[in-house]
Amino acid sequence: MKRKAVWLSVAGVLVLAVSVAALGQSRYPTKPVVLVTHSSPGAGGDIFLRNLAKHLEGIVPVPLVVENRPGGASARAVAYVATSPKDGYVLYGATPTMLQTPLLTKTQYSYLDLQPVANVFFDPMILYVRAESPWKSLKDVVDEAARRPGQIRFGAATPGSVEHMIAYHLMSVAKVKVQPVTFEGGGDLLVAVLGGHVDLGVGEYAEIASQVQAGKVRVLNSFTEQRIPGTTIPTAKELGFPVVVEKFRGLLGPKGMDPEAVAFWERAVQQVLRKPSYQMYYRSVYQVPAYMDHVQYKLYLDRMNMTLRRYLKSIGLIQ
Amino acid sequence: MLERFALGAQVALQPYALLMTLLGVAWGILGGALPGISGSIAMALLLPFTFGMDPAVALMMLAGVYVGAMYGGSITAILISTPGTPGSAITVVDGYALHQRGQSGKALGVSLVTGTVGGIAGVFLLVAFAVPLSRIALAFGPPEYFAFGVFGLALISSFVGRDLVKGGISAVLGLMLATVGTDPFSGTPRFTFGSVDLVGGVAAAAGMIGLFAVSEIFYQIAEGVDWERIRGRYTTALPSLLELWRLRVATVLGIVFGTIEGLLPGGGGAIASFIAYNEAKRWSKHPEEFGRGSLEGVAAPETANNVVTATALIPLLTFGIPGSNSAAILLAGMMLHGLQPGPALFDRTPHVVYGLFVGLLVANLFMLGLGLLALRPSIALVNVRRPFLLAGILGLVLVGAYSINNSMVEVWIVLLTGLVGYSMRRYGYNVLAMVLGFVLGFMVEANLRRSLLISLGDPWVFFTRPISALLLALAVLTFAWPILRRIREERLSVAGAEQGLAERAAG
Repeated sequence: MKRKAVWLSVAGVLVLAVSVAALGQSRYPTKPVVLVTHSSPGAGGDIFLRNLAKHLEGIVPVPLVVENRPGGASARAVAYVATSPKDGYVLYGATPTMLQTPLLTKTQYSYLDLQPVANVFFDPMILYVRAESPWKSLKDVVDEAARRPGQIRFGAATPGSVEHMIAYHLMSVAKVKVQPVTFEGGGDLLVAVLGGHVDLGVGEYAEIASQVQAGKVRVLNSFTEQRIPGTTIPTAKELGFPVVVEKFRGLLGPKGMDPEAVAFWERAVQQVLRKPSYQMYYRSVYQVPAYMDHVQYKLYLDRMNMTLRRYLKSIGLIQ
Repeated sequence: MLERFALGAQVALQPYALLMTLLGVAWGILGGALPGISGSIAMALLLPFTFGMDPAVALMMLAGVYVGAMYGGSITAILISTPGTPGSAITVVDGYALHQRGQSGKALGVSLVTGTVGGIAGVFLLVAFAVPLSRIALAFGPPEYFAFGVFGLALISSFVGRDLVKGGISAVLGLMLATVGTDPFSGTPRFTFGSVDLVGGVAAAAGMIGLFAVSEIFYQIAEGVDWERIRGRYTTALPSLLELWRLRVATVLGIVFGTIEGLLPGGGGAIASFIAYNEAKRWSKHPEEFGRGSLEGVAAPETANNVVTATALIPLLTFGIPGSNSAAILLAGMMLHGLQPGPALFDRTPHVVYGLFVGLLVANLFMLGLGLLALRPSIALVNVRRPFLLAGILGLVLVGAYSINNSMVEVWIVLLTGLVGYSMRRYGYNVLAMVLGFVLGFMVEANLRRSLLISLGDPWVFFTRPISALLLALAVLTFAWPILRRIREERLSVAGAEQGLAERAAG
């Protein structure tokens, strides 16, 4: 009698547990989802996630919490996400930094320990000069660089960065030599270009758009696959210099993440990209929607990682 | 212009906007007073809450935090020797000395009043001269930044007193600490010992908390200074009007250098307060009081700090480039609301821009009011038995260090630099010189190398460009001045002694 009761209650608990688990699975998400960024509050990656979270309201039925885990040039955030439970309640808002850091330094975790979920945006990169500059197109720059090898001062970010990679690729494609000058941030570089301290700069379109409107800066070309929506800026590719490098922004989870949660987020990202209020916002900051599902995203990241590795090797930063 | 100002006032003086600004200032003072929570972090923490607000009100609230945090940071600089930002590092010297002499109320009061004056002066400069001043930012290229940084480093000779060798060693230690992290030109990690945690370098806040606050705690524990004499020691008496009037030169110097600092996005954010302090000392009628508790020594850097809150908005609003970390959060606040900073912002959304200007004025007045209210309680907080106080501060700064990156790495850095700072104090080295080297090191190095890239390797670039040449000449003068004066004083005293001997012999 007694034993029977015990068995019954055990069975009951089991049934309950299984059904709760089943419910939980079919109804992902059931609790707040944490979106992790390696950016400090207010920096690019942080703004991206906070806006995404804001506009996902109504699409994702649970609260979204943005968590900043700065430090270690993204290593800390990646480690945190890689070791999180795989149930899909911790996601990482990735940028190319995620790929660069493990290539440059020994880290415990890399993007291979993460499950790509979906890409959201590309931040278009462009080449620009100040309004007073005589150069009107990329061809002018290349011609001048051929005439005065190693004398044109080309502002970019630290070696290893996407900006620097663009400068490097451009020079090898155009077979010219320039003097690369590195800056810590896109803003510092913009001031140096405006002040005439360097001859041209490569940076994110969003960072200089207001100076373009004010007529202080001229954009020569973009490094995107297609023209930046809403602009007539030619791409480097159509000018005969096939350099296409974009800063990606997307979501990744821990490796082995619940496939149902992956599918949920693929749908959510597609939906939010179509939301008019979000469209209005991301167009105003010149982010180009670039949705990829988890399969495409994985391939893209592998390819990007390979490109980065080759570039880092060729500039001698890694063996 | 006046019309737009009226429009801004209309937005900024609504009860709701005023309330939010007040809350912002209060939160800023609180955040600034917690070590490790700098103005920019306090602002960032508030950022998500401003989502639903009108953009003008959101920016006013954030600006309120910015202004409030400046005073909050000087509370800790004065009362527990913990600067909130590199900009208030130099406030520690005389502010903390005043506090140790028991004149805590005077030190805080001076910081508050001169800070308000600086903040309001900054807003007027911002409104009246934003466009012409923005040209200064453009005139500063890498060689100028380098020269400006060297100017800052040259102040070491006036801070270290007699022992130039030990002062030099201290400064070099600071420069060395600044080299940890990713090399800005090759991208290779330097002195990180393979640890990914050091790739980003040593956080400025962590280094300063360790060198100033933790080393002071260790020092007091080890030396057993004033172990028992406590209660009722610190007075809350405010500075008198006459005392404030005597600070006018120091305040004006603070305004001048603070304005320049705010304009230079790559300036590092600390040089102005150091230079203002040094110049105030040179122009002072009582330079000997500096370092031992001079009110002018608090007034100059605290004015400079608060001027920056307004003038840092000039490059932000005209180029979209933040002049400080906190201005960067303000930029983020604009971006969140879909506002693109730049020249067009003034015409497209004047109510936001001018609302922000009026909001800044209001925030400065709120800071004065709230600061006066908070003055007594904050002094009362540190007026406890020293063992309790030291334990409390240590707990507070360690939590603060942890909160910089939410990790233990900064806690270890703080403890380690604390030990270094303690040994330096113990053996007569100069902690301030090390902090100066540490906060300026990266900027000086990066701009030296960048200048040489730009000049294609020609070192004369620093001397052929007028601003850079002028700044370097000033640096040489600044460096030599205290040394020459000391030599002259010594010679005079020797001459005087000789004359005395001669007279005695003759008599």
